[in-house]
Amino acid sequence: MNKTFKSAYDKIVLSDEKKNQLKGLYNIQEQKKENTMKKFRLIKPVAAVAVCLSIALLASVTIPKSPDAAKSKANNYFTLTAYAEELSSNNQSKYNESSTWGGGMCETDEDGVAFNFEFPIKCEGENIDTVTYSINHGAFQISGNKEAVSAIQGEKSEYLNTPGTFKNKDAVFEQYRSFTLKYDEKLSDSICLDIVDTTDNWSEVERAQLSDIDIHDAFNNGNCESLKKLSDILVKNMDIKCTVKYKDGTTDTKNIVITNSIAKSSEVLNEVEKRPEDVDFDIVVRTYSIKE
Amino acid sequence: MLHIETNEDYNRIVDAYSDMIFRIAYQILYNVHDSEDIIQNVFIKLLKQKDICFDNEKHLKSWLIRVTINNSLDCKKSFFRRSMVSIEDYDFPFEQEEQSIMEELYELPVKYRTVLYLYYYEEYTIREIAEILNKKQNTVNSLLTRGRSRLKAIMEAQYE
Repeated sequence: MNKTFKSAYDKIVLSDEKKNQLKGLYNIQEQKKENTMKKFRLIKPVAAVAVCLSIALLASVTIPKSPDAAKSKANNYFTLTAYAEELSSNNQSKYNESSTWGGGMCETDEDGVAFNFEFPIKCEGENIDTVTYSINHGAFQISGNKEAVSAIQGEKSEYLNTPGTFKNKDAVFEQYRSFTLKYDEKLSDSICLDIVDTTDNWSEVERAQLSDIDIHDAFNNGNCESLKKLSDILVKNMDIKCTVKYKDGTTDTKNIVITNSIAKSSEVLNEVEKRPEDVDFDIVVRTYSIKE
Repeated sequence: MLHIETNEDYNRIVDAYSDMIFRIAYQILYNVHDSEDIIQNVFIKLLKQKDICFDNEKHLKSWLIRVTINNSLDCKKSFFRRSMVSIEDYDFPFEQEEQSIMEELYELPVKYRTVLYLYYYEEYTIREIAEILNKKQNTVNSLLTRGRSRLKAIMEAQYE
């Protein structure tokens, strides 16, 4: 076996054309460095450069649209939106084409799954003092520059080892079971809000639910049926609440549920995100909606 | 000490290690295009850090392996990386047995494939693999043993 193993790998070689392209990177990087230094000298006196999210890919959420804002009291109300589409419990939905990263999953050393789903929800309304998000299973992960992340107040979660979303090397993150924002402040654009969890921290009973799922098949073969089943299990026990406290001291809470479905990439991805070589393929999309 | 001071220093590293990086990325991702992207990322990272110096050639090689594995795993975590493409669709001139073993390896989780590759192909010791992967030697030993037995089981099942 060893001989065949070696001879197989011997044949996986990079083409000369690609090697030459790699060699060309030296001059490109030198040139970039020179240009960056010039630019830096120009902008340095003006302002600090905002930290940018290294968001890679695309939205995988579907957003149910409601015609009615659920007003809880005469003047006090709030709605939850995802990418400007109002959430409701009604099932009419359309695919959102916003460009964002969506989420990621990976296998863990314990043969489980760790995941990180973008939480694209915003709360909007009238007479709101504070907004509190809470989650009973998993955690909210807030990542970004240190200053913005440290400004968040909340109940921290035990550490969950999950995939990261923020690729800036200076980024930090914190995980919360719940956190509260002043309504006027909202989340900084320089941070990323995700829902994270790892099945390594689940109870034996909860982990047993994974036994029927071929995780390897879901991840490596892109089997959407398996991936959907897996995604359903991952969010099954998740209870997400958004509680607002109005300026008159009263409060109101909405529960957010996540469901999964399989769609065609042509329906979900926008033109920029489609790759020329890709044919139409199945994709698992997440739906955020209000639980009645 | 090993510095990358000139274009020639860099070109030597490309010649010496680009195939290795490609193989490591490929054995994690099983996709040529993604693996080519990973190589580019690794060399860009190397160039961005070219002011740092490595203790020796071994240190450089370990660094390249670690960065390649981390980049490939990050790529693998993404929902929307390129779809899997069969190895038959690419022009690796595999013999039938080689093709079979690549397909069998693909059935294994990445953690086993990586350890098997480093041990059998790069001929690292368990201790060296543990250092590169930042894992305990016992863990590497167990991954190697389990990887071997899982591979054997897959092969036996295929030829029954």
